[in-house]
Amino acid sequence: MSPQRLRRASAQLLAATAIAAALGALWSLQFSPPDWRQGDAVRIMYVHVPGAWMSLICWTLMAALGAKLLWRCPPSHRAATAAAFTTTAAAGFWFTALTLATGSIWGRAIWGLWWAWDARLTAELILLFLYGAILALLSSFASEWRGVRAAAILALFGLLHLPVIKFSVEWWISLHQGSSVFAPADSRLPPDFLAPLAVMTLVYLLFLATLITLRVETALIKETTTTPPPEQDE
Amino acid sequence: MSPFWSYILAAWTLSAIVLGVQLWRALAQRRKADRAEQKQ
Repeated sequence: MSPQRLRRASAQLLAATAIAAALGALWSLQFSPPDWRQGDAVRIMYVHVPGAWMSLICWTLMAALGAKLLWRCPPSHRAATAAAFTTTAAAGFWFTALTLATGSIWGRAIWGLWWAWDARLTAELILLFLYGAILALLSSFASEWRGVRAAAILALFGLLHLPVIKFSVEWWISLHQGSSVFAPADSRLPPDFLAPLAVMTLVYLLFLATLITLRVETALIKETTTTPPPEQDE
Repeated sequence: MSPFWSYILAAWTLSAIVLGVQLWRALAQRRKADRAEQKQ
């Protein structure tokens, strides 16, 4: 894709993100009802849960991009794919940090605790460390391409941790609540809560798409201005 | 006003700041690349 087309796409995505964010914030903070048990504290869910989903989605996307970089990436696509990979890694790190921070605030409001060494919380903290390891690998090599390849290998191995996060609330006794979105009808969130949650999830997805588009566009512009010699596969 | 609003605003403000800074940095990097391209 050319930088010109990416520029148009990023402008459209940015506008869509802003509109969806305004709608999502208004719906979540003003028009959605309070929970019968948690009261207004449930409104923290609309930033916490999409962040948690994004932390898993980013890792999955990063692993897919990593696999492409390792096995099926022609040199002409390398700069764009590597830019998408590094952007997804950084965004994933921040989504995971946000999940932990907003979860901690929610925990303080509802449980009276900022932190507990609970299975779900600890698994998410380990994910943050894994993202940190990816970012460290990306900046640890003199050759950028080597760093990307090393991080791509870790991204693929790190996929093994995702089911641990997802099923941690079932495998261990947990303070964290179980799934209430992809759950049987009797324990699923009512539509009044699901609808703003869906809008906020869309906001986060659009945000990630905008960020990746911007960074890939920047990488392509830089590639045309600097045109470094492509490195050979080892 | 519910006593939870300070927690709600803290969580939302933190999220907005973290996402906003990422977006701002990506836009700044693109502007920098644009300027380098124009100089050539």
